[in-house]
Order: sequence, then structure tokens, then C-alpha cells
Amino acid sequence: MNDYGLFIFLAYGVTAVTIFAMTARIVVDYRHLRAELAQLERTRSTDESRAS
Amino acid sequence: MALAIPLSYAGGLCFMVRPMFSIDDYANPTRFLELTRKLLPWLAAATMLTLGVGLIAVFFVVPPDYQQGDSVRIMYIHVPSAWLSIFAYVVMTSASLGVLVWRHPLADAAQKTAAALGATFTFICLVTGSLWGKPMWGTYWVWDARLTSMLVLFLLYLGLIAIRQTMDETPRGARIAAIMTLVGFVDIPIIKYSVEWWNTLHQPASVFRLGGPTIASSMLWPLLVMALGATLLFLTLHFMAIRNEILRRRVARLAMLSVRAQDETTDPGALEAAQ
Repeated sequence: MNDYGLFIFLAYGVTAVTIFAMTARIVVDYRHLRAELAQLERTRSTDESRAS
Repeated sequence: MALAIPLSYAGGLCFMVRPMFSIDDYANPTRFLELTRKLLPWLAAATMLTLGVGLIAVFFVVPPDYQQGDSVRIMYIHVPSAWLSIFAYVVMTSASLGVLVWRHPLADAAQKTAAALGATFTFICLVTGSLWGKPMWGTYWVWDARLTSMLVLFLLYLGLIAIRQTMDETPRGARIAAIMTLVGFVDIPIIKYSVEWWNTLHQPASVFRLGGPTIASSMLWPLLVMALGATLLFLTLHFMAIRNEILRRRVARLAMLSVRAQDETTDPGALEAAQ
């Protein structure tokens, strides 16, 4: 593998980093959205209870 | 159920299962969230298992090629990513039909989120192909029909992502993106048949061809395992991204309702006057 080791390493390295970055972005987005949704629902239920 | 999710998530493919399943049963966003919540852990586990087996086979079982030597191992990520870059566009096109024909919000979410994934796999395909080309062809890049049509596909994905980011979340924006996706589909047969229509440096098809695969079985099965793993990875990430898109729209709707409610409580007269 010595002749082409660097090219193989770079190909698998770029693939791993790209897929990891994509997955991390989706997971972070999900956590952020869940937190935002929970916050909005809490605010809404507080407003509704005040109004009633 | 297992059949209904992959068929229904693309939205546009729903008409194919209409006699067996009701679209509203499976393509409903709330139902989709519920089904994917149960399915995603299994899908993620199957992805890791398949890719794990595939990578072990690639590095410990596959023999070096008699011409390419060990650089053939790059093909085990290059070929699946090339297949998936086309598969992602087919999913987007099917979803675009779902947007234009049924105006389904889930098809719109599927279309929007597949673009980033398609761009990712096309990028991987171009980079790994380039890294294989340098030791084998003596160059990272040539303006050959297959390579150029793949680059056009990558630019198409970037253009579609840009269109979605510049347009607001309206049905009109979704329809324009869907029409642009359908127009861009012309590149898919060009990619597939470029190696037959033109004299290219890129080799012709060696797996999906009329006479059967030209690859030795000891090298073929790890390639198919890696392709299956990459497809499962695509489905996992796509389902996760669609879930995010559904949540994003819910957050936007609730935020709007909350602002409207605040306006009404602070100054109801001004709101009536404005209306």
C-alpha cells in the first residue's frame, strides 16, 4: 500500500471528515430546534393560562 | 410499514403505492416524525454495521488490482458516492413531482433536504476520483465528459441550495425550486451515458451493464456492501434532515403566532386599523 498510501489516506480522510461534518450539523440543528420548540411551547402555554 | 416509509418520504413516489397505501397515512408530517423516531435507531445501527463490514473487507479481504495496485481501494468510496449523487437527484426529482402535483409539504421538505446530501456525495465523488486519477492517469483532473457532467451536477446542487436559501418559505418558492430541479434532471442521463456517447478517459460502466459485471467476485461483493452501507447512510441522514425541516417550520409557525398574540394584547386597536 506504500505506493498509493497517501492518496488512499487522503481519500478516506476527506470522506470521513465530510460525512462527520454533515452528520454533526444535522444533529446540532436537531438539538437547537427541539430546544427552541420547547421554549416556544412553554411561552405559549403560559400566555394561554394568563389569558384564561 | 417498512416499505411505506422509503416510498412515501420522497413524496413524489407516493402515486406508485396509492393502490396499497393511503398517501395521507404515511406522508403526513406528524406521522412521519413518529415513524422515523422508531425507525432511525435501527437504520443508524444497520448503516454502521454494513459500513463496518464493508471497510474490513476493503482493507483486509480485497486483493490489490493487477493494474491499479492498492489504489483500487479508493474505488470503494468513489463508486458508491457517485451512485448516491445520482440517487439523491432522482429522489429530489420524485419529490419535486410531489410538490408540483400534490403540493405536499413533506415532498417539499424531502426535496429541500436532499440537495445538501446530494452535494456532499458529489463532492466526495469528485475529490476521491481526483485522488485516484493522479496516480493512475497522471493528473487530478481532465475535462472529460463524465467528469465534467459530474461537476455540472455538483454546481446544480449548489444552485438549488442557493435558490432555497434566497427564497422565503412559501409555496411559490417551493414550486420554483421543484421546476428548477426537473430542468436539471437532463444532466442525469448525460452522466450515465457520457462514457458511451463520447470518447472519454473515464472507463465505461463495469457493474450495471447488459453483459453483467466485469469485476471479479472477490472485488465485487465488498463494493456492493459499501454501496448498501452508503445508501443506508443517505437514508438515515435524509430522514434526520427531513425531521429537522418539519421542526423548523413548526418553530417558525409558533414564533409567528406568538408575535401575533403579543401584538393583539399590547395594541388591539392598531392591529384592527392595520387590517
